[in-house]
Amino acid sequence: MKQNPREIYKNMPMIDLVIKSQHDDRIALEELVKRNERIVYSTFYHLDPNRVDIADLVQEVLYRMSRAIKSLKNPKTFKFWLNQIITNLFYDELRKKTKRLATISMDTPYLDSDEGVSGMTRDIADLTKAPEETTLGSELDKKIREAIENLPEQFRIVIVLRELQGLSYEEIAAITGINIGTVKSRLARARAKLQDQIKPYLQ
Amino acid sequence: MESNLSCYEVNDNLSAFLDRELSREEIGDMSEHLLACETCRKNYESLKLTQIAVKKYFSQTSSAPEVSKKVMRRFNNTERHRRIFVSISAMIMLLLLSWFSANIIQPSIEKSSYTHNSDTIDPDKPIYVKSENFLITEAYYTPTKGALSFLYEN
Repeated sequence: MKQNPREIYKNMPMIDLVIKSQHDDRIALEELVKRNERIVYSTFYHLDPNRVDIADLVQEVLYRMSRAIKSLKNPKTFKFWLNQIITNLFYDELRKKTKRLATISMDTPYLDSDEGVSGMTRDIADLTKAPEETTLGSELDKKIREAIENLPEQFRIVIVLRELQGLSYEEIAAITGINIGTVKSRLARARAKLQDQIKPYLQ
Repeated sequence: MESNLSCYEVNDNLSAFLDRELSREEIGDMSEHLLACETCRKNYESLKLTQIAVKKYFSQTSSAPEVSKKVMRRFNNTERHRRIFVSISAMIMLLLLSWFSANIIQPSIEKSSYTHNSDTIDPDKPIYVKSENFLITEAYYTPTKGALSFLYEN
């Protein structure tokens, strides 16, 4: 019985899809795009749930991935490489947003960890919120979403890259352009903040 | 058993310990302290529960948009334009190269072309010579110069 070629690609490991895409296999490339839609969407969503154009960002990342796939020297580092594309676009979008909201300073210095909750400031206030989405259920989820939204971008990005993407400190440092010590301290502070906010909702 | 680390130091490193992003020795010291210290252990457990909740939250995504068709269409279009551009550039390069070869590169003269007796050569009639790259060029025998001068000489 002849197997449908697309079925073969559906079961192929990611690294094989990458290699085939690099050799001009369009079916492999399309499958690679499909395989990564969800994770790319998820990453952008959790970085900024209020954006109304997340689908466009997802499309842009996957298009850039397709165009640049041959430049990836080591297919084993595909996940790390894709996250670089995502993060770069996220930063580009942040810069555009900063220009539009020029009165709000991005250089708000961070005080040390023993300050209270009120000391934390957001870098950018989003003045246009999208309509409230129906959450996937619990009070806990709502609380987590709120807590993450209240984190400034540089804290949100490390927690998303770590807990959603599962990247190492070294990889996060390389992608965000900060040193490992800073990754470590930002993660610790982000987690402490989240822990504080959701503790009453945990069993 | 006394631990090397203070509660302060342990708390400072709890997050990195959770990720096992510490040296083997540090992990050992941390584990030792957590076994012995109830306060720090409770902090660690609370941090771990937070991590589990956040990870679970991240894994619940509402349906992702299907963009693969759009991406491939855009990609295919760009590839098509790129190929057209490359073909046209290649053609232009070829044309330029031919023009340069014909007009700029001096053809070398075959010896047999100029072993005639100068008396028998009619200076007004062109002699056709083959150059190194097999282009046929017109040349004229100039008695005064004693050499062939070329029609398109610079």
